[in-house]
Amino acid sequence: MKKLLLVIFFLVSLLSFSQESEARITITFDAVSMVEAIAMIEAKTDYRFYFIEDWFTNTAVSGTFQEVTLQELLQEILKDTLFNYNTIEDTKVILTKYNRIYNELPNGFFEPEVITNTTKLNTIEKAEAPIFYNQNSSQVSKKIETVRIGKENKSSPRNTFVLEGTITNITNGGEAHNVAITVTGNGIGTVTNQDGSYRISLPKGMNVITASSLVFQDVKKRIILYNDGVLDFGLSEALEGLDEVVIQGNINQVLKEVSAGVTKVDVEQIKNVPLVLGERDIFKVAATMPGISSAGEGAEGYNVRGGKVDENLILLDDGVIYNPSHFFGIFSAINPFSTDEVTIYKGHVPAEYGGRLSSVFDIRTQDASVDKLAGEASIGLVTSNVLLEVPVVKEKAGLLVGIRATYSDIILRNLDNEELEKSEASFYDAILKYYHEINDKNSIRATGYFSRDDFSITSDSVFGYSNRMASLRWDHTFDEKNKGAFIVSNTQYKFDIEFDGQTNRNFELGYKVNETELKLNLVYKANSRHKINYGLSTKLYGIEPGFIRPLGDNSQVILNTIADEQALESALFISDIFKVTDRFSVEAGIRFSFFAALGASTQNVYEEDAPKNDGSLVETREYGSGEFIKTYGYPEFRIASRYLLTPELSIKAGVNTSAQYIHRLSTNTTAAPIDTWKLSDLNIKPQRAVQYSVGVFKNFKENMYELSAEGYYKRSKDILDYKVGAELLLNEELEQEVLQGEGKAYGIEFLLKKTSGKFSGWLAYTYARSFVKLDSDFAEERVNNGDFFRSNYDRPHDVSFVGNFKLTERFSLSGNFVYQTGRPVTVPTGNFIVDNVELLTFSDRNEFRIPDYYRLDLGFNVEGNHKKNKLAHSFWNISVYNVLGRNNPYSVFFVNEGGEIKAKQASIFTVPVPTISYNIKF
Amino acid sequence: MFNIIRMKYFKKYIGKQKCRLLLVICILLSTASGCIEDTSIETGVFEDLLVIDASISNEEKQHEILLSRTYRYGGDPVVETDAIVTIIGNGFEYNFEEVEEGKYVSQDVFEAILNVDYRLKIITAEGNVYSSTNKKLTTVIEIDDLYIERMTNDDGVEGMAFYVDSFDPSNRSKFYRYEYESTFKIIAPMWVREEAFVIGNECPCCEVGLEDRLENTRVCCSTERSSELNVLESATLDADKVVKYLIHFVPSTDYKLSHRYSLLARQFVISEGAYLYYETLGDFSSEGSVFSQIQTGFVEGNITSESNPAEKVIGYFDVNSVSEKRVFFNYDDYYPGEVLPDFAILCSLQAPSLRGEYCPGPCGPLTTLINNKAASYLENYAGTP
Repeated sequence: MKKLLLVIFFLVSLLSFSQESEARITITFDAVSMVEAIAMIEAKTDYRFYFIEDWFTNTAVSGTFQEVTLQELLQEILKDTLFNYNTIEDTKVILTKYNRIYNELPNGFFEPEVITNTTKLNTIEKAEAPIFYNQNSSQVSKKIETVRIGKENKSSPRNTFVLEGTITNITNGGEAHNVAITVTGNGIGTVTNQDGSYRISLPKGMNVITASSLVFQDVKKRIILYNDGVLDFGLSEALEGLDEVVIQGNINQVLKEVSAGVTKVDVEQIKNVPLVLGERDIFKVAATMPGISSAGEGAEGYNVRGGKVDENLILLDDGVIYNPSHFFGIFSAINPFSTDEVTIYKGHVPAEYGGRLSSVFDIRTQDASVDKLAGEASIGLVTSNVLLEVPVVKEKAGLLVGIRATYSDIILRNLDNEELEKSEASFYDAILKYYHEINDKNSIRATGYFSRDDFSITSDSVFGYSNRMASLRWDHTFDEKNKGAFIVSNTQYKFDIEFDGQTNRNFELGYKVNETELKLNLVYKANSRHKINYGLSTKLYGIEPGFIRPLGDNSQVILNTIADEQALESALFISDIFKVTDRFSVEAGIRFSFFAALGASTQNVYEEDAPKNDGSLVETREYGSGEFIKTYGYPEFRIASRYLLTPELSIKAGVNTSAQYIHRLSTNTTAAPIDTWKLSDLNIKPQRAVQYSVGVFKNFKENMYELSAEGYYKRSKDILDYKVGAELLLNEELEQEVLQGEGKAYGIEFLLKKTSGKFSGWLAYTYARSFVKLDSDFAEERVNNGDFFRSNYDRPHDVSFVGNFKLTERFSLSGNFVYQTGRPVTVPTGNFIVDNVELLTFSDRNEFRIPDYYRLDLGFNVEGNHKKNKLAHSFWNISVYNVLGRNNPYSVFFVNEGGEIKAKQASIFTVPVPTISYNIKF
Repeated sequence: MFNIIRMKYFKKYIGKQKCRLLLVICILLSTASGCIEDTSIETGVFEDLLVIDASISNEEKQHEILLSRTYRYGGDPVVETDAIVTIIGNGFEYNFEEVEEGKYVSQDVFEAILNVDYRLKIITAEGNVYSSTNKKLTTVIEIDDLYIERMTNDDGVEGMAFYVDSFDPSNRSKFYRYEYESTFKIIAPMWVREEAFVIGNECPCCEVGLEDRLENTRVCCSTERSSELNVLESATLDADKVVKYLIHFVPSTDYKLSHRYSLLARQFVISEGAYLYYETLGDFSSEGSVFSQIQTGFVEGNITSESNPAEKVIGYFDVNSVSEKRVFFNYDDYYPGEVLPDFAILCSLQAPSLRGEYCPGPCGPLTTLINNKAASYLENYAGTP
């Protein structure tokens, strides 16, 4: 029809035309040009059109329309063109080509990156998808290419076919991941994977799909599907997306992901969360989610679902970080600017991860920009942070550099306080990441990380600790169905103490743990129902458990070095994400972990059925270099399942077992940087755990609200604890001081999240208990009569509220509220006097609790304006931490002061702490 | 084992670091309201246990053993009376006699001698039998030196430090415990020879007289015994040497330094077991445990109940060698020409009225103050009160 050019002829019949919205037009076009046709409409109505005439050089319009609305008319005449219309102010019609004007994102914008990729959101009518799926006036569209896939086979009984392919980034040739593919009108959707691939089941016949993402300009394609087929296409990059959209990213994911107990921390969102001294901290935000808690503001590490601090595997770009904290836990050592994504597996842990009982914190650094220089910087009261993204090879490679440091030293030096003037306390961390997209099948990511803390608080001592990590990851796509990653990482944690007083006791002391891992992680997408993840990993540990040597000529300290420990931890893993039906999916994984403690080493052998002490020592065995001292191996089951009751309601259940071969040693009730890590050996068994979990997930109001309830029950065995008064550092007979017992934890976690709109945030409530049992036939190895007792981190009630209220596009208010039951502590059961000194006796552990913890923080955020062409985007944050000035005790303890026992409490922030920080992004 | 000992020292040190770091942070935040404060706490559970404070030494004397029971926080010590206390060793049984409640003194004078096992045995009034492990006398050595320095300590406080040096060439002593007794001269400031007394305290007979004090109460001496645990090891050193070990520190602002100050230091060579016992107990009630709280629990000594082996008993029986040394100085020796520290009690000068408001009726507050010994006479005063 449009190829015909006919004589211009038109006939106008003006019928009733009212100025009301329901204006009807009767008009006939006889192969007129678009420009003429528009002029005719303008003549008949009050509408005025805005467009570029050149657009319409060879478009002809024909047809007779009786009493149609303007919309109907325009739809029909623009139907097969590249153009779209937009009505504003009732009578102005803007015609657009390619560009779209929109004031909201389509529904179902984000779909989960799940294996059960295709999920119907609502029941559909099997009609041809209309091109203009939304009939309101702000409608837009683009040229829609029509693609025919497959040959029609009329006899085929199938009503749906699978369409798959890869979406590439036209701008740089890379893969376009996290692109939402939605099918207009029927609520089918999927998201492209990391490598840009997608797979979707579509109804037979015509479908209009939209590929959209924050990063790319949207593309629509009309697909006429007769059979299974492949469709690859490219997207060009769009302008920077808005922050609020990022928040929506995980909405459907939680509901549809097969595994329960997965928490994602939205890195972009945490900037609005008021935190102490304005330091953005992914861990502290994570701790506001159910199931994750810490012992207090000054404590290091996190307890996940009633597990100990050492039961969390913290991965930064695949490399383990042993102590990601500064200032004894007050600040996080992970640069928030460089962090792209944080996923915390606290229930179901995918089979590819292992080696810790409770959780995996998978922290991913963002890929550097490959096309333009970008950066972010902040100035706070205590630290400054700079991040730069430098393209190295245009459209191919980029380098990210992030450095964060404190200037507390300068503050200390200028303090009018004699006592502290000579003190030093400083920290810094740096991250370097190189990203290279070699081609569409290969990419390389190399990360280097270093963090260091230094203290010299008393004039005669220096104390420092550091993390060092390097990892290299090569992602390779073998073919459409197979891809994999090869990862090498090395990490080291160490601390050192120098004591330089005036006597003969000056010393230097150090500890070091080092591990190197090789990992091969492969994915095979067998078909639409099976996605298989398999691979192997092997890790070599080397621990230098400590040395002490004299410092200076006068020192009489004896040089002493504890023999190094070595071990190999390997694993084979395979898991299948199996979509059993549209509603029911299972992820079944198994990980065979194998551990070998290696020589050279000397191991003590004790009598069986006797407490381990010098008396029961039978012999001391020598092992040669590389010799297997003891091996352990366990199958670890990682099973999760999900059933979609309705598109917005799912239930999940899972079983997760795990083994841990490296243990953090501490005689303190909270973790400290001088805690050491010890490998399993002849006498120290691996720790093991099993967790059963169930959950119900419900989304409301088109995913604006997310509600979930998850329950778990966890048992662990051979968890490490210690005898009273044990000393663990530089101890050659550690096994004599260590107890291994049972753990029991259970809880129920509720989370209500509002993900979009003026107000966003979440409210979390957790009821959780955690117990430990240290029983033995021998009194010296028994604690609390061998009964279960509350663990140090048993805090039954935990309420967190985090909210952000947008006053305007630029101003927002944010607030946190936290309430937690007080931490259990061991208190004296009596006083006594010996040698004129008043002392204390203690009995059962953790019988008492310190007072409950609660805190309110408020913040006010000012964003710079959002002008597109502005060079930089700025962000101010003014916040007050602990607005209520609550004096939350961190610990309650008893001290002999002037010969008398006094009860004391220590708290860190006792008054409101105001902070201001400034961020700039370019 | 040596390492274990050493690390206890480090742990305390780290604890202190962290505590001070937090102080730094508090100051950075201008919230120097103090990270640590006193609190009152109702700890609930109380365990009534026997406490045995027993050690004998190589001093030839009547040795003393104290028996008590644990008491509640904030409460008063409770003694254990009517027990039978015996020390068995060297082929003798030394019997102890209760000279005052809870205090048992050996009937005979004796000294512990080398290479002999001693054992403590107690039978309480209820008939429970307790006994210790065998202990031998520790190596006998002398304190080499006890000396004083005026210095500024780690906390920036200036004062007098008392140091000990000791050396055991045989390298066997290794574990030490220190006690001291400080004796200091007090001269009451603003002292006058007369004292006021009340003659009549009912109006109209309000009258106060003066009389000479019965004795010279202006100058006195006071003795205080150390009340903090002080143990030390040299096991981690290549020589059994105690070098410049601080056993006591008195801030310059302490009135006790005002005139003449004397310190008697006593050094006990103790057994390794005793050292670990005291060290652990000390850890459980020390500042070092503020932010990295150590896991506390019951610390077992070397005394057990024969009647009920599961019963917890507090105490460590040890046989120690003792040596002592004394040092003394005048304020002027170290603080020449400096102003004396404030006196222990800061007096306020007042001239309360003698007469009351009504007559007849009670007299003014002066008579009450004098009768309650709440005021002392300084001088006559005729001005307005």
